Amino acid sequence: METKYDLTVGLIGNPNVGKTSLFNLLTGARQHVGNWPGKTVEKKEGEFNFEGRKINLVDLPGAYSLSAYTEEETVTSDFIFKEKPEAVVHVIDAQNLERNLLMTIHLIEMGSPLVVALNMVDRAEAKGIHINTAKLAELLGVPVVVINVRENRGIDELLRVVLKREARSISRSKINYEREVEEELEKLIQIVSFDKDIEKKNRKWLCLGLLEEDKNVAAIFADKPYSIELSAAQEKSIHHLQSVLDKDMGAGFARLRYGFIDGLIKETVTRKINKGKTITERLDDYALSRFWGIPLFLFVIFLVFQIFFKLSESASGFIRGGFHAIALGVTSLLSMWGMSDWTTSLVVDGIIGGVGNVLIFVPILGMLFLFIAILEDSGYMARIAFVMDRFMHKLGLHGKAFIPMILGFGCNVPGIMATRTLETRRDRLLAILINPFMSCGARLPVYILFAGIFFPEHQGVVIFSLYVLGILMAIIVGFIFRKFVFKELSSPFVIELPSYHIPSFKGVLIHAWERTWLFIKKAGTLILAFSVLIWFLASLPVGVAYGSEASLAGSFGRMLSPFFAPLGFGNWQATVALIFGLAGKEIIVGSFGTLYGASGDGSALSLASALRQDFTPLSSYAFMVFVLLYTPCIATLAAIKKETGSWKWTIFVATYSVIIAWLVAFVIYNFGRLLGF
Amino acid sequence: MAELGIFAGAEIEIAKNDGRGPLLVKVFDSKIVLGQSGAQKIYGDKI
Repeated sequence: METKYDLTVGLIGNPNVGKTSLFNLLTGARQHVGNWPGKTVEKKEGEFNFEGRKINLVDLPGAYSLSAYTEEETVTSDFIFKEKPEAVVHVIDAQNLERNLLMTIHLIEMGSPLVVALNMVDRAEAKGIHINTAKLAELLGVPVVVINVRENRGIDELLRVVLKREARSISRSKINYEREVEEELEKLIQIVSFDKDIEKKNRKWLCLGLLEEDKNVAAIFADKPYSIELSAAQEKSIHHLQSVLDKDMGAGFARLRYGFIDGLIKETVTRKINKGKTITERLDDYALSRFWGIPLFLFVIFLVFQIFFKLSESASGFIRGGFHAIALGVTSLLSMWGMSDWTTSLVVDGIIGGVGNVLIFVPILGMLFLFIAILEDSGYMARIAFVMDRFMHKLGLHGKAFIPMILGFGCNVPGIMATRTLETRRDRLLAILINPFMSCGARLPVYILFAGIFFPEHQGVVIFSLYVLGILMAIIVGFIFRKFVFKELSSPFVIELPSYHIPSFKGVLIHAWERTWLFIKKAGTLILAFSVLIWFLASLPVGVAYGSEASLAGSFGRMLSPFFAPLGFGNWQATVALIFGLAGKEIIVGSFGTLYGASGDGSALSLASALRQDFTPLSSYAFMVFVLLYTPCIATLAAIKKETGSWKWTIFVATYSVIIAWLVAFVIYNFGRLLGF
Repeated sequence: MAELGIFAGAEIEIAKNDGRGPLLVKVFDSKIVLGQSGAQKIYGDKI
């Protein structure tokens, strides 16, 4: 979008302070999501008009501070330092002023044109916390505006201050550290002050960054002619300060800043001790309880999945039916125009079928994302992480990584996308690698088909055993990766428990739609391409019946079937179905229909008897196990590629899962035979 | 963790500790979940 803005405003804040709600309130539907250049971090922008000015609002990522520990924080400090927005609005939760002010201090030190938006003052008052806003503004040296995002109050006032702020952008307050720190700072500033490229107002915070061992700041000075002198001085200063402050300079400076904040709070906040429990505390007595925590969680998840499956099944069925109708219509249209069967099939089976494969996912994903957004916005998601932490330790991960796994049972794609919430790359990779073992909804039709035919009396038990096997595999594989691949320790498990609140309808919808759309954009083309490729395999050479033994896919099947013979299903149809299953595991069911020529009258009876000829109950179980564990579908692989940003890991997942599937199916089949099944 | 207010010299209230599984600590006015492994590295005095 090439629109000219009158001014750019950055929006920043801790999690759960109402920042996103404010962003949605201001920009409405006019927002676009992209990536920060060269980063995997999402960039959200939106524009709106206020009093004749066109404002470009940029949602800045980053959780609790601006030091360059994470990519998010780097993005944010880069934005403020290099792109020089006309104003930065920092949304603060009045209920927890201390913690929020840490970032305010950072922003002031950076000399950003700051406006503080104090949100949730009503709730703070209810808790007995009273803030003297005028005094706070005076001490911070920046404007402080009270807003209430939920009730849409104070927003215009905030924007007016933002417009005024633009003219006078230098923050006037000074944060002074104790003498020792100031002395060391001065030494570094001395060295830097000869550099004309470093503006005077930036000197102090850049040198502070050097003392805090901020990687971002270090990079700024890396190729300066005086860099050797500077880093020698930096090292000396840090060494000296470590003995006075803390071995960890980051922690040391946090303490200093919190000391400053403590003084600020004493002058601006008065507290009445409020006896009695808040609603959040009452709810947490159950949600986090040793006894009730897990049952309550299971109940919530059960409920969510019930609704999810009901709704998404009918929505998917609707779309499937729609595409079926379109396919029929197009088929008769094309034959009317005298197109060859081959061309008709390309259009109908290849392209329309391929688009259908993409769109089938949309309601499933949309629904899942909607439920996640509700769970997240209500505050319950953080409690789930707390409750499941002990179980997740068995996998070498912590509680937060449980959420992607639970999502995986619905669909691995959102599961893998949800690993974004994990901090370290190690945790994310591990969570991504085990996610495909969570038996997704698309695998269920395969189990239902086979278990229905071969284990009519124990269908439920058989299907349940597959889900359990998937979890077991995740535990085992997680253990192996932890031992041999990812030896470093997991990041410490720290999350904040936000207060519960009723999620806003609009916020949840925007959230879910954004994620769904991102999936359609990124994975859609890949799924479509693979669907067409598979169609070609099934239809070439020209003239063969779709997916028949004579087609390329059929000869592939013939060629590869000996590989599956030791697992009990060496018939070529099973092999071809597995190849087609790469496009989506639910396709396996339909493929068997086509391959056994049962599609015409679609009689399940003929398919059942055909399958009985080629499978025994034991080999059908081995087949189901293989379907559970082998290479995830293309959509999942696309998600893995997108989230890891690496083809290497994507190919690794595609291969190691086939190997595991083969081994496990082999063991089950051959043990079963030894036991006489 | 320092950013959340858990640093040497900070005042922290342990709101919940079942002995196994993560702890719940109160820092300033927010509740924070802290994994056992992280919590074991923190030493404090009772106040």
